[in-house]
Amino acid sequence: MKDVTLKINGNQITVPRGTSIYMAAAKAGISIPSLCRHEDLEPKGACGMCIVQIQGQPGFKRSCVTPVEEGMEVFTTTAAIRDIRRGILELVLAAHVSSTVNVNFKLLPNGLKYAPCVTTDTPVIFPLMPVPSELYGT
Amino acid sequence: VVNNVETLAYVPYIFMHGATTFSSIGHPESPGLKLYSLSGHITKPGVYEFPMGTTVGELLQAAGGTRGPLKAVQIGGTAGPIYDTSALGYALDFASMRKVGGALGSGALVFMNTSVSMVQGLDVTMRFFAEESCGQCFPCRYGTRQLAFMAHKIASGQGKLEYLDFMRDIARVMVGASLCPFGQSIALPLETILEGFGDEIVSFIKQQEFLKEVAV
Repeated sequence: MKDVTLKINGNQITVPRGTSIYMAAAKAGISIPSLCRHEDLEPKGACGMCIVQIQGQPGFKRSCVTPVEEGMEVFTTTAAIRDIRRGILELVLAAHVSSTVNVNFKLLPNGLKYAPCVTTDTPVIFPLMPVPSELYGT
Repeated sequence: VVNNVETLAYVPYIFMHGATTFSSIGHPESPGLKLYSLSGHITKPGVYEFPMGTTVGELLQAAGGTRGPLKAVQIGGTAGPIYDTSALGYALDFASMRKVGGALGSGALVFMNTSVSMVQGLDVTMRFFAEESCGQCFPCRYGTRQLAFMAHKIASGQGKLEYLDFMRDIARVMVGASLCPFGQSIALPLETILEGFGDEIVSFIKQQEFLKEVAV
């Protein structure tokens, strides 16, 4: 299989053609946040947390379903990306904090509490509290 | 693949009369005829065939004018922008609509008179998106629900001014991270409603808050 060379956050990396940006980044030791990725499942691009920006391309691309291309320059953490990841995470928390409250509280530093929530059918108004930045990418 | 019935219906005309004849009609950048579906507070609602580039005002005239004073026009379907009366001068073709930040979309135009509350308009539009979202991707699934929830809170008199900023925030997230153009398209009606009729929504929220204070 032919190899493709690209840059992720300025680091040059060579991976087999067909590799996703997400996996290429993982190989380079760069962790991209994701909520829907599972090693036993095909990537579906559901959560949107793994978005990246690609030099010369408008908008954001999901790194889990975007294959690498020769000469591509990828950025996995920009202010705009963090802003959108924060937004997605807040939407998820606002809808599910009641059913996954224990999980969320484990993730959060002590003292941070989310407002009491109802069910997914009647989402709460967000942002309940600012989401800690460690949770949406470094 | 071309599967649009309107497009296919023009094929016989083009074969019989030639492409030059067809493309001499309408706007040079998007030539031909177009079916416009006019509804709402107008005298003669229906489907009208006009050249591309016909203005909103010309179509309204053909439909016998508005019933009551015109307040707003939604162009291109429920996912389309909602403009105030300045839209009467807009030329309806793909190129011209893109220039004003809109889209011709389905060619549907909904005319609203001053009896329409834009608070209700926001509620209905956001509920449409929440019901139509397929739910595959998070930004659209959660975003449309949250928007519909907030719009409904506002419409039922329980809104807060900060919701409007939250709604803009959600729209930005959806434009950036929705998997398909459906989720991205919600920003267009939402932002045009807030831009053109934001004052009306703000004063409705303030009025409801005031009524609650007085009741206490």
